Amino acid sequence: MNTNERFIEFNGVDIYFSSTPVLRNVSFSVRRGEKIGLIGPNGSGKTTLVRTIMSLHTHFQGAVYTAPCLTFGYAPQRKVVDILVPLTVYEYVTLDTGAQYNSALFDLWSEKLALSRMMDKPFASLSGGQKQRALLLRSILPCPDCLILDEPTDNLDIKGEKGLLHLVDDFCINNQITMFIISHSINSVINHVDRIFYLNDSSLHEIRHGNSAELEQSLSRIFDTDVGVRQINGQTIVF
Amino acid sequence: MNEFIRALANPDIPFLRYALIAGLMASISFGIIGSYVVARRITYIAGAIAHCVLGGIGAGLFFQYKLGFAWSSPFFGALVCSIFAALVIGLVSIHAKQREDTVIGALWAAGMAAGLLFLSRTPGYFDPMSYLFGNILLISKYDVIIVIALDIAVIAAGILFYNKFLSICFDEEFAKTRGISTNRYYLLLLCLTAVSVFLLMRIVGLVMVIALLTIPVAIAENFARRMWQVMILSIILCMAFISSGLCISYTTDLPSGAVIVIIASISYLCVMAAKKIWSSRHFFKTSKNNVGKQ
Repeated sequence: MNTNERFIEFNGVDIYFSSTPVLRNVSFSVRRGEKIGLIGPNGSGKTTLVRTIMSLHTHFQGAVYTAPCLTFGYAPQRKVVDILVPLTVYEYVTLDTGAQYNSALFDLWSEKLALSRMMDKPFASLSGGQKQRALLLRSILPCPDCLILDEPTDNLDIKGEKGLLHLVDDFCINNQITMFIISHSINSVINHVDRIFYLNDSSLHEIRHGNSAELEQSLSRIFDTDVGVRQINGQTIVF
Repeated sequence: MNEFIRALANPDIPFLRYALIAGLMASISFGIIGSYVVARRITYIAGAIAHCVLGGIGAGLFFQYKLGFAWSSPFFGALVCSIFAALVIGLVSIHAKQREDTVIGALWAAGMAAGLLFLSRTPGYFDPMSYLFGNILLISKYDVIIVIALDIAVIAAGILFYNKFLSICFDEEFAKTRGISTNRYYLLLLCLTAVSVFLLMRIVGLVMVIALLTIPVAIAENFARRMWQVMILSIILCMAFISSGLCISYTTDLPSGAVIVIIASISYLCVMAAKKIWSSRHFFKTSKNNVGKQ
């Protein structure tokens, strides 16, 4: 598998919501197997950007390239489900794959995500965190080329957050899956991604984080304030 | 009841048997397709398709009696028009997201208006009431055969594409990211809805047919935990409403479509009331136990 092939590429792309521009002149290129963190304040266009990558949002101008036959696994931030939706967790998770999924992957991940005992429950009866885990399981089950997780740790405590991100991390590395992970906070994603894109004021900036000094410099310039970076037990902390 | 059973066995009253057979067969399609329609929340789109069919009935009669086309008939016009309306309304709902309800409302009325214009220019007198509110006298043996054939086609498609329809009903966005051609399956679902409307329009009429597509499913959703259970329960309920409605309408000499829809509506209200009473009793019981513990 050639990791240098063109995979996802944006060149001078303006993305609109109705007639209002959300992002302007977005240019980046992502290779197969890369892990990207997307951070930025509410309303900065993080979700709109990933929806454009998946062709769910088509109101844009500019050149967008995605590799042919690219498959996506998408776990949205939340899913509002009618209480009367007659689907069990199992049916919801296997909605697209039917019975044709990798059963070893299903067993392993439903156990890891603590969903194996909930498979017969109605999907609508799950809590916010449980629903989010079910959405994650559904997005990885078809083993996609590109995994997109929108605020996957929103309803989780610190232990849950760390455990989940490590699991996803390993899964993507082992299967050469490109991952986009959206978060409000840089500390949530910085230790799990190769590159970080920061979205604000309708523009996209890449935060270089080769080493602490470079990261500190890059963050201070983008946020226009003094930003500190420390390495503690091999983990990068931004403050 | 005995009178109804005797009438069913009476060779001089074949239309009653035909109506019952057509109704019971169509119930299977209604249970399956109605479950998808309610899950996808496109009841109003199904309503628009049903009302547009009057345009096809009018055109069918016009071509038959005014232009002398022997191959044309009101039911042929209805079938062609229902599928045409499903495709047009489907494409509108896909592409005109922001003004979807307005455009569909306009098509709904335009379809009916076209039907009335065709009827007014067709020689002879044709009562639109029979098509709008159903008339079991319109059902012939030939119609029953057509209903059974189309019914089998709708059931086969509904079962064959079960997973795809579930995907577009419950999470269209995710289905798109998985490369499923959601628009194609959506249009197919609307065409199946159109054919289902055609199956029952003689018995309950175009205006009320939507009730049988949605009420059985709305009741079934309260008792079933899985989609296939909703479908089976809806089929049983639809069959029960049609059988009991035909029985009561025959013995009391009331219009069959109206009786069927009233039975279905009363059943729905009773289920909702029983559910409300049961849940409030359960709430008070739980509260009382909690107070006792404190």
